[in-house]
Amino acid sequence: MNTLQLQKPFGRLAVWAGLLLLLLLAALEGVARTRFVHDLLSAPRLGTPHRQFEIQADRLAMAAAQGPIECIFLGNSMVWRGFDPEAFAQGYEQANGAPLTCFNFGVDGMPAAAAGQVATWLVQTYQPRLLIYGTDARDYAVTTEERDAQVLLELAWLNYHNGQFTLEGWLYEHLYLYRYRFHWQSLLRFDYDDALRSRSWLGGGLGLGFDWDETVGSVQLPPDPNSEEGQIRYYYRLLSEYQILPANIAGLNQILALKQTGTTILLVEMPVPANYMLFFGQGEADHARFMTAVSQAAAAAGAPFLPTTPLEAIPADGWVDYSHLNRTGAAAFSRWLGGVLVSSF
Amino acid sequence: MDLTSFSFVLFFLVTLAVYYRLPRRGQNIWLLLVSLVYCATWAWQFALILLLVAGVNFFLAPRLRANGVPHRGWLWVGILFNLGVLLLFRLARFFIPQLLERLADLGWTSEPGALLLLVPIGLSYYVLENIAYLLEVYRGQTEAAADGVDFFLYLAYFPRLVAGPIERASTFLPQLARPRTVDNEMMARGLGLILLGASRKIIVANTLIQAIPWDLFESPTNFNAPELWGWLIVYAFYLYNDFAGYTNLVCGLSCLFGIEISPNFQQPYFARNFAEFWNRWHITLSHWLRDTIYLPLSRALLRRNFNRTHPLSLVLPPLVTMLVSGLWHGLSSNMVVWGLLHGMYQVGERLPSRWGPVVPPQKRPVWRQVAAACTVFILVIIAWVPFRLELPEALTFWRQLFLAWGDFGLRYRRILFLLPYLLIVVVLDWLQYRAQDDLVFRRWPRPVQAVLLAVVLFLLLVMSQGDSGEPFVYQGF
Repeated sequence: MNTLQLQKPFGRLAVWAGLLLLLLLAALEGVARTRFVHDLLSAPRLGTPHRQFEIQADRLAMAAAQGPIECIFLGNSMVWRGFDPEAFAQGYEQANGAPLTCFNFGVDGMPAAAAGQVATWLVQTYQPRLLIYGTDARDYAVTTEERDAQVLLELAWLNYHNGQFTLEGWLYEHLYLYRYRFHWQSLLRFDYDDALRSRSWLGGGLGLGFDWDETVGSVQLPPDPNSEEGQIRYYYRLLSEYQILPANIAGLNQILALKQTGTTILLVEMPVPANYMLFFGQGEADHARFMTAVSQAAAAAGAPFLPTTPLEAIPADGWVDYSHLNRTGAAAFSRWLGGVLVSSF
Repeated sequence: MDLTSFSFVLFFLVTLAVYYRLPRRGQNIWLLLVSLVYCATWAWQFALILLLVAGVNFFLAPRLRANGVPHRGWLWVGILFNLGVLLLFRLARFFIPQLLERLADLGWTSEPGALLLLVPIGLSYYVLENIAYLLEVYRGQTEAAADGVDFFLYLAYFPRLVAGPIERASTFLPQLARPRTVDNEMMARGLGLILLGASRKIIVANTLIQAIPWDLFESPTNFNAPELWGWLIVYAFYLYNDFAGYTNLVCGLSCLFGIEISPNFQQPYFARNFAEFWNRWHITLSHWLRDTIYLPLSRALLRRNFNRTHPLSLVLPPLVTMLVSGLWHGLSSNMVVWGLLHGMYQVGERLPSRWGPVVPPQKRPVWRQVAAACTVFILVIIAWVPFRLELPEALTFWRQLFLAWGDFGLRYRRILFLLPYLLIVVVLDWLQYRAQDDLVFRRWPRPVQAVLLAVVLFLLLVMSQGDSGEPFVYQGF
């Protein structure tokens, strides 16, 4: 005798409920696509724990909705903190007589390997006239196992954009309801700080991606090798036995190859204070290895590379710490860059 | 593997698909195999321990009533063995760390030793089932199991392995011995219970526990008395929905195998006295305690000429029973206090019987029934404090709860937003209570059922996303 003895009709209720659920989901998808919901809720999720990346992607989409994106400045947190689009526009206009608005797509902890993936998506989606990649020695030493690097490289939505189909990537790309599902959950669980745009920085209200830091750090003193401070230890870990990893060079080449799409690619060394060299086990020699590797890749692709070290335009009080510019430093660097950009083309 | 995880859903569906294709005997073997695999997903050693304990009881049971004569000695061997296993693992966390430390000093590290620190999953439940089984066999209420597969499955049955319900061999084994049928009614009932359980757990319980301020129990002095009462009510409803949700889920899953599991909850917060409360909260444990401790102790007192209204008969059985209940929940002073508190509640409500017959609650005026239910609820939530906290912290919490009335500020306004959740739960319980049916919605018009089902599915879809997967609270016992 069979255990399962279902008789028809069976499951009609489930079918009706399923249809109603589909209707409900379709209606909510329509609501989720409205500007009202976008303005109400914090940046939509794209399936990564790297929340800052999602916020930058949302800011860029908002900026693109205002008009075409001419220029994108891509890089790690040094770019995020160090590139002021307004100061850059001023510097560029003074030198050129014409404005150039550049979006800051700086993302915490993003090495060159991940930057290659992100750049591909940026160029394919927004087709900027100019892509500037602000780079530093650390971009080539970070392994793909580091958390921020790994989550970006494994991001299904990003990979979907770059031609690798996954269901998750598809869902994030095409269903706004899916992007906002954690927001609904947070609202239902009264976690408003995480859900509402107005409640926290997760809203990401700043137009051109730049989040400045007003802190003035004392970078004139050499770093303490025995420091317990997380960032200092991190730099020593990456730079004391400096290595240029092939995956990161591949990422750099992926960025340079985007030149073929018609977008101009420019590499810029992100400025660092003099004491930054003390983190390198071999000091200037290690730094020179990084510069050589990037120069060679740029030259092979026919793309300009702009070295900045030492950059006298940065005032002594222009640093947050040994690698990040503060608001003053960012303005000085960006204005300088806007000015020299003319001569690079 | 948590019952609400995606991996469990896959595991269950595969198990079910194979199960429906097998004959009865094959089904039992298959269920036993997957139950052991399920147990081993925590640690393979847990499955071995389960088999060992089950094996000892299986071989012991026929000796309890050899030739129809009860053998008390073998019964005590069985009971002491089961209690010994439980105590070994429960006490291990006190003495194993020191032992391991000593061994490590001598350069010897032991992984199996470290494993003893963990109580094997479901141990507290199947130990009670074993004791109940031995007692039933000893009293001649059931035959010693002849089929090893069926007996091992009775203890290892994966839907209820983690946290019960505590099933009786006399009700469970006969179900394994006959062919099972899953017809429309059984399927609808099973799916209904699964949805109800998942809703209680994912929509209600997880929301309530995540809303509770992180410092509520760690630093109760940060809160004033009204806030503490409010959050304690939230905690009480979380606890209830978590465990009742688990039980609904387990009963629903089992229905899909054609196997009925005993209900464990019946709207306990509507209880009008503590005897009723314990017949509505963790029913199978209450019944186990009643049959194994309370009634034998009462009978023993009667045999010694202490009649039912004698102070000793009024005080001792409930106090001892609830003390054992507390110790079963944890070998700690706070659980002892929790058990004794409930014991004293029951003693308190039995005392009036010394001076005359007591009117049963259901025969009292409605306003008295409501007042009694409110009183029971308040006393129950006061007792949840030592259930949740170690004794010194519980005392601090109580002090704040009763004395901190100087300030009426609200630190966490979200408690107000939780009111709709609590209201929904109370209304749901009220509907179930009136209909005496957990699946009261099945009596509603079909269009209403369809809308309700769609909304519940949507909420489950949204609220289970990336859920941190709060474990079921009774999984820890």
